[in-house]
Amino acid sequence: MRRLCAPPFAVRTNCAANRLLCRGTVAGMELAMSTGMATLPAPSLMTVLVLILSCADCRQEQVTLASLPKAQGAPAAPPAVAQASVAPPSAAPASAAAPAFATAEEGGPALKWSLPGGWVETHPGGMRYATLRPPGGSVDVSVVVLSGPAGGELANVNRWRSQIGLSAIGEPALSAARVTLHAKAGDLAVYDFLSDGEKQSRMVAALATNGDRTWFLKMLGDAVEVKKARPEFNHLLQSLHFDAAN
Amino acid sequence: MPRTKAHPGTRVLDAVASLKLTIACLVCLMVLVVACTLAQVRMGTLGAVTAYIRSAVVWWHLPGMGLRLPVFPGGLTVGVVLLINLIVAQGRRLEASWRKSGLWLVHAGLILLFVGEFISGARQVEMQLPIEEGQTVAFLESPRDLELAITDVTDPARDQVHGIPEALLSHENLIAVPGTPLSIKVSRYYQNADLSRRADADPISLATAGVGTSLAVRELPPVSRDDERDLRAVFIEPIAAGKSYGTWLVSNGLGAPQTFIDEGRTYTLSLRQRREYLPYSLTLKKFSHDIYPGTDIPKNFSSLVHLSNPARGEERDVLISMNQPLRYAGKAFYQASFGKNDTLSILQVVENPGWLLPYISCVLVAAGLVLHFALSLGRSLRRRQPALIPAGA
Repeated sequence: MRRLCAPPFAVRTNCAANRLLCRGTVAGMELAMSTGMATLPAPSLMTVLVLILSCADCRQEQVTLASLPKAQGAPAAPPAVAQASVAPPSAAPASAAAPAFATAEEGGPALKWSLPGGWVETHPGGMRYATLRPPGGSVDVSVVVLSGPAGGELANVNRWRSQIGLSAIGEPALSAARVTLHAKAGDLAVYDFLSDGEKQSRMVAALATNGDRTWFLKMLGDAVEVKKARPEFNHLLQSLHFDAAN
Repeated sequence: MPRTKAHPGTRVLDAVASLKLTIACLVCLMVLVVACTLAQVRMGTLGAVTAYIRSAVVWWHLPGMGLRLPVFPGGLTVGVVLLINLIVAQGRRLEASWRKSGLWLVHAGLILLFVGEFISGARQVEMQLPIEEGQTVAFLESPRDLELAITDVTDPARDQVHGIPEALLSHENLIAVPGTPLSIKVSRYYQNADLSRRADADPISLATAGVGTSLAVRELPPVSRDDERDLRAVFIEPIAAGKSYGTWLVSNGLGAPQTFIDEGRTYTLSLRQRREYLPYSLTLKKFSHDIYPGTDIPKNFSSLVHLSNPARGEERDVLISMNQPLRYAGKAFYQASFGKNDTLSILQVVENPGWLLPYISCVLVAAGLVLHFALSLGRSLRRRQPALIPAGA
């Protein structure tokens, strides 16, 4: 597939073989038309045949790269919401995973917190209940609420560890890693993990349970930046409380 | 008088140019059209056309054995043979004279029609551009093909988006992501699946990271109706420098990207409609859904868009309406659909390097027929003229 390459976009494909094949096909056909078939030998005809048949698979099969300004990465309006001639997918992909995720409106009190100064709070929808960003913007704090135990504490902790390339741990190591923090919302299980490698990442995550729902607050980013934001994150965790009014 | 033995090359060319071959190809095409029409019930229009018309060979998949056998030449093979038959027959049978110039033109038009269809089949790309009023969009989305987007979001100003086509996910086991230390190992690929919350009775998920750990994936047969879409589910394992980041479930049914960090670089994973990024952008200023007064019958759909191309210094408004597409930079933007209470417009974007060829071929065929008729008429009149002169005059 031809991709246009011009600033501010840089799109790259590695389809030289396919391009060559396609050009060969067109060239072969042009040759056949221009030389007159009375004198065209049979092997040339076979070449044209093979090239044309090969070109049937001349489609995009390569990994592509696009360098985009941040705004371009924002998702477009999904066609699934369209009416009229564009019918929504039968499997309703936009909401297929929704049963796994609770929302604040699904019953039970909502989790509230005091946002530290300079932090930004957004509600992007989808799986996230909220996204919080400390000053600087390189650290991401997600708030997710799931129904039930959401697979259990050990499974979730191992899932987080794998996000920064750490191996899974067992129950004994889980207990050793857990720090209990007392908040208005009850006791929180807090975990703090540092990745391996030259450029280290750090993750601080907390679980709060309320009834049949589990709340997850996870701060993730560069180890240095997370270290800076850690005290304020701790204050935020301590301010957590459930608001039955919502 | 003894018959001279024909040169083997000549015999081959005679066989290739034979009328019997033409008839055989036409019969094959008829069989393919009927088979393709019947197959649309179980495969959908696109699947049937791909399997019967746009393929070199029609395969029969042996039930339950995972094997397939070639059973019939596909439309592509038959078309190529017919094209070669036409070209060789023209070269060998049609005399190169002014008298036959009309027929040469007709044949050239037919050949061009074939070539145009081959180019369209191989190179035409159809995409969609869904855009809401006030929104600016600089990429197209494939209505059918998906891609695994691995986005490096570390840079605060720019994202590096790596797109792995779905075709690679379904066929390859280990895919290197150029420009990154990452490789993607594909553990399991479902063409269509149902995702639900994992219950205690469900088997342990293949996923060890991300939201897939709490979801159950049940394989479903691919949908065949054109108004339905498969829900893909793929288990993948990002690996960097030998270190695994766990097995993740990605699906076009999951709403938000999932994140992992390698050596301080943050990557997001999402399976989404394949995108093509544009070096220009379109902003939907107004979508109009006109109806006939006093009725609900649609009269016209149109999208007023603002085209912005900084590289060319181009800033202008364009009205795209039914049958009046915007043709720009090799692409045609058609008004295709709408939604969200008439605030969302969906444009069909077609890129076809051979779109002019059918028009040219039609002109050639028409001109050839007219020329041939005129020449034949002239010859006929000349032959009849002596007969009209009275004897002894």
